[in-house]
Amino acid sequence: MSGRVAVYSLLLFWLTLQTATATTDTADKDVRSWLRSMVESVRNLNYQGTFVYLHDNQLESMQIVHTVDAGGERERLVSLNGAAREIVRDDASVICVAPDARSISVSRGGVGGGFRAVFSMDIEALSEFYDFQLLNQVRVAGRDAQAVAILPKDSYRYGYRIFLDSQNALPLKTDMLDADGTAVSQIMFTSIKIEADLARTEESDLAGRENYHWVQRETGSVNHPALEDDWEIDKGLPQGYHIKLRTQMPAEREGPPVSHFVLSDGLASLSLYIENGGSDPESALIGGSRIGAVNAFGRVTDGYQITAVGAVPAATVERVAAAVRHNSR
Amino acid sequence: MTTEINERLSALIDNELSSAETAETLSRMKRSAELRGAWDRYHLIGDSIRGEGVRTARGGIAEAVRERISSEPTVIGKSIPINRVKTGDRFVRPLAGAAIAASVAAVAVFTLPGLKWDAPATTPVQISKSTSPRTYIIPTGTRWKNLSQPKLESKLNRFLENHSEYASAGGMGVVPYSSFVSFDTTRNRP
Repeated sequence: MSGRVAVYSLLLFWLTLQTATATTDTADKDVRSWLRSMVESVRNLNYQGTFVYLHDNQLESMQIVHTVDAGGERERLVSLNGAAREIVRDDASVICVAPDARSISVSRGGVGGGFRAVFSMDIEALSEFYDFQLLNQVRVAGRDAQAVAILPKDSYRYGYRIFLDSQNALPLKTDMLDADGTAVSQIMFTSIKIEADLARTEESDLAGRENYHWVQRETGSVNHPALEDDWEIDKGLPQGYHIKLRTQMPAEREGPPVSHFVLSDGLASLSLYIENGGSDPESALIGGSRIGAVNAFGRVTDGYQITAVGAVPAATVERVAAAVRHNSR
Repeated sequence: MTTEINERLSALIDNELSSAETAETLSRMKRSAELRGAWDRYHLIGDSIRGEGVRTARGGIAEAVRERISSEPTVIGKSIPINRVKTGDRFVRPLAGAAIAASVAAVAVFTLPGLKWDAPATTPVQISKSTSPRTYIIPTGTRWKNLSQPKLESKLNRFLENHSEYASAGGMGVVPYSSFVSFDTTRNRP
């Protein structure tokens, strides 16, 4: 009797295993096509909507208008709470307007747009550090959505739970998850309109802002990482993270420019800033800090201030900052 | 019993007499059992008209009250108007007011017909008595945690803003810029 039960159990277990493997195979394929569609839609569709952004028990609402035409991609993001801060981004520039600080910062040079290829979502390569899962179907912003999960295999990167519009794969809700699966930030559209003939986003209204503090930010020269040898960073980085590019960021007032490295595992990204010598103690970061899902960690070595910043776990910025070695010759 | 005194009695029940008339009517009631009987009947009529048949079980309340009062020792006190109370404590009047309000509230609660009052009278329910005062600040933006140096916050904001330009291309939609739009730019410039 007990022998028969054992056989049945084994058979059942084997069947379950087979089914599970089969669904994983097909589901995996589906997740990949869903995510590819998402990347395409976010860039190529015309949409406007209102979304809420939750982080650290703070809830904020923002409006986004995204258009694409022969002139390229254009996106306008406006905060609907408090000061009407806004960002207007197109293929050539990023303009940040902060009425509360009475400042407008403009950066040109096409760096942001030009490096999209660096961060295109290569799911094959990402599979080494993330698991991809197809979840259930839900309803978000009055639309049917397919939930997918991108789950990190270690604690050096955040995961995502994304609810994609069933029709066009736009991310209607995006939860950023820590290693425990707890949401560290959430973005959810409350209403969204997808229209082929959406008017090109209006220019940011700059009237009456003549007295603002205008900052023309130089984007700095971009160098190939391999050409630089004064800093050794690659050893000791969390698995999967590599230097994607290096720039020189001009110092805010005087002093030598700040060395800037962008690191990524293909999905998560962070920046590493190295300031040369005599760092102002009032602006020195020793240890960690956090704003929403963004972590920062700083330390001083050989008179250089090292600062790592990015939407990655605290352990990642700390380890990246610790990995920096100065090649003094 | 004259019509005049009957009208006086009726006016007293309706609280329409001046204080001099009230005093005079009450003193006449004190001497006249007939008036006290009329007082009870007027109340009974009024209650019946309003559909409140509560006094039918026992008449002669005015008579009973008079008997009780005459058996009590008389306390001779000097009446002092409340606005002349001279204690040096400015909170006496508001407190007196509160006590009156509380007693009225208690009376209202206990006399409402059909209302059940299950809470024990000796332990009043305390509602949200906070032990320490709290300040509810209206958030004006997101701040870096554990930092109090404006210069450092400003620098980190600049770094984050710069980083967002590179991170924005990750295909995750609005995620990278959201943190910038929400952060507190009032500290962007030292």
